[in-house]
Amino acid sequence: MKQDSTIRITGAEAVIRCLLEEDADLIYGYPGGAIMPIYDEIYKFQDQIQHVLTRHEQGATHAAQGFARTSGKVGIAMATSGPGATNLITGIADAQIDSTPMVCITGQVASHLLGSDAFQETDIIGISTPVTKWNYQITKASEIPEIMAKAFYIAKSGRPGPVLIDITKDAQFDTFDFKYEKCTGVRSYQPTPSLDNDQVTAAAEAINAAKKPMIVWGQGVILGEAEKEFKAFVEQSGIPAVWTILGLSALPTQHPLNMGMVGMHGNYGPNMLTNECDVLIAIGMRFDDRVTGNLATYAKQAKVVHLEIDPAEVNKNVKADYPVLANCKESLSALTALVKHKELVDWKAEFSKYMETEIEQVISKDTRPTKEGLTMGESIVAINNATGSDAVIVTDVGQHQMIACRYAEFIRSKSNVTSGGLGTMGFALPAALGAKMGAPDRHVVAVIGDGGYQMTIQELGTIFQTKAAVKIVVLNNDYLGMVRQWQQLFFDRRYASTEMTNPDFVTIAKGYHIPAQRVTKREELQEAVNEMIATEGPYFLEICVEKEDNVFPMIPTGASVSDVRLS
Amino acid sequence: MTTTNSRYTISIYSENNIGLLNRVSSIFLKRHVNIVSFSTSQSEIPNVFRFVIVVKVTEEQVKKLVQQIEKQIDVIRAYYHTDEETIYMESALYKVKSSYLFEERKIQNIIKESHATIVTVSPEFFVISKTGFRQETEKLREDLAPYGLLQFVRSGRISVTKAPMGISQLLNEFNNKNNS
Repeated sequence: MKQDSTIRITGAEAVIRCLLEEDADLIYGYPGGAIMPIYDEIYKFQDQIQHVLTRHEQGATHAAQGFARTSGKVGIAMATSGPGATNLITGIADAQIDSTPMVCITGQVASHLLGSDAFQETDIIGISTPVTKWNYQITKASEIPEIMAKAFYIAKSGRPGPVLIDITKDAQFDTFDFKYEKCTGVRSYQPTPSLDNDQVTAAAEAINAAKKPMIVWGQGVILGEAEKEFKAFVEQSGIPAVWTILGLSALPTQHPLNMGMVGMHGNYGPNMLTNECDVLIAIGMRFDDRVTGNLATYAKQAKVVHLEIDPAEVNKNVKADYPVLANCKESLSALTALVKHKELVDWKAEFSKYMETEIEQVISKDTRPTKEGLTMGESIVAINNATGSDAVIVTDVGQHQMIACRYAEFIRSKSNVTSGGLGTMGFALPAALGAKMGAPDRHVVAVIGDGGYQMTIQELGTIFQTKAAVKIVVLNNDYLGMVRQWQQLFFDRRYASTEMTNPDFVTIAKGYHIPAQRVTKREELQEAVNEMIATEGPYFLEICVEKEDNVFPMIPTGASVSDVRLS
Repeated sequence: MTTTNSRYTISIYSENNIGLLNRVSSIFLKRHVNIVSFSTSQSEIPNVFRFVIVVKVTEEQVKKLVQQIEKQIDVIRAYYHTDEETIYMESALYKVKSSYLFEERKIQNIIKESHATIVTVSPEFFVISKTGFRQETEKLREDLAPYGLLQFVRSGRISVTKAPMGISQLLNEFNNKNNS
């Protein structure tokens, strides 16, 4: 064994040194009793590591997620035991279902108190197990380097996800001989399946034989850092490509083969043609129910090619005729070498035809409305205009999210940050703070509804304190809009607990010393958005939109993708 | 794929980590699948544990369960097998009042015919054990029930597969790769 670099330090200091070894110099968190030794080290290391004090531990997880999504690095969230730890759970669950690499560190009562119902003791290992990729409780300081190294390795390798490390207070105080080695493998864990050339060949043959092929891509393209390989595959094959909500921004909006979004509020053509294509090429996506609608009538006519890194996703919801297990960066390169280029003129014309209908019946009303009230769609267009379609757009959950994903335009990857799988209201404001810190040179615009905004509104304090230049847009319709839409369509307009009497949001923002403005008229909209983008530092813009607008197209729950409604 | 429920034995080779049991059981909980029988022990490989879990589900369900189990970081490998593909058994213990052993002739015959073993005899009670298929341990329980069973307990299924498992090989491959 090499005798270099062992130093005798406390467990708490070891935690900080492990973070620095992993190039993690930004922590979102909230201190408390059981994690004070680690916070004491954060104080001592403040010239090397930045800690952002969120106003609630949930905010710390979402900020860490936002940071991870725009930077591609592992996000770090820290909290004390008991309520601090349980407050992390929503963000951890969100990161688990959206495959976001995150390491959460929680303090725990001293090991001799475990199981005694001590003050602020909670079984966070038990509570977090179903929503973590891995978790571990450290009770001895000497375990810290190996477990921390493993935590980072597991969080970011293969299909990424959240890891929680719970450290008892005595393990933070104890001293030991510290030495750090990065983790390069875990014997019980194979993060990335090795590419099987036979699978590639079979998939390529199916694709080459197709007359009406369609690509559906998801976040795997972004997580696999395979945007270049993906674009090459799309262009080589000439196949129209559509995206899931988390795949958005991996291919520029204006790319001629980018045909739009699939799913519940996706575009008309992509949904209709899912049930007409002959080969469906799924890349780094998991056939979520919001994408597939009724599985019994989903793409039954098509042969399915599925490029996927996680073996548990293959055949889970949709049977794959041609599975290709690997990181899609690798499988896409291999596939591109074997696929023939096709023009697919008639097939692409079908997408255009549906798009014309959608523009006429939905999009023009959303983005170029003639009625008096402002729409969410024109608000998003104003953001596109002000940012040259090159902002990071962070969305919450609901109508504004669907509208933003439908109409926001992108030219760069890692630009769409939203809570997809879990649908966590309150995600956007803290996530936007993290997103800005992960991509400091870019415009970051948080688009939030008036409901979700108030779920984590306290993070205005964090934004003010860090001076992060987050542009906050609240699309205010004084309703929980998506639930209200469902009540209108499926519950005979019984608006149970969806109307909100809202505070003066502009005054609240000003209370946090964030410049703020409210827009109620169309002629003020673009100028207000321009001013927001031009202002240095954070900015708050409330856009009062039509109260009872609905999001279309829409696939009602349980219906087939080809039953998508335009009104 | 069949849509009727069958009995499957899930075998899991894993690291011996605190919390893994919770992680595995949460996979069944999340999918609302009831566990018929469960046992865990050391495996043939040092420091590797083996779970044997019996479920009654469709083949599609058991496939997905095994995929999710194998996805867990500390699980080395997970498999599922039908009864025909495994050698399996359960053990049961029966505690009966000692007076019956001497007063009831029939009890002696029941014990003899069932090929059960007398584990211990005391003035107050005696304990017999029986290892075999479920219907065998169950028949003995039914036969003894009229005499008042003081206690009865049956273990989870233990089983080995007819086909080789290849776990040692898998671990060796990992070690070789990491040492090279």
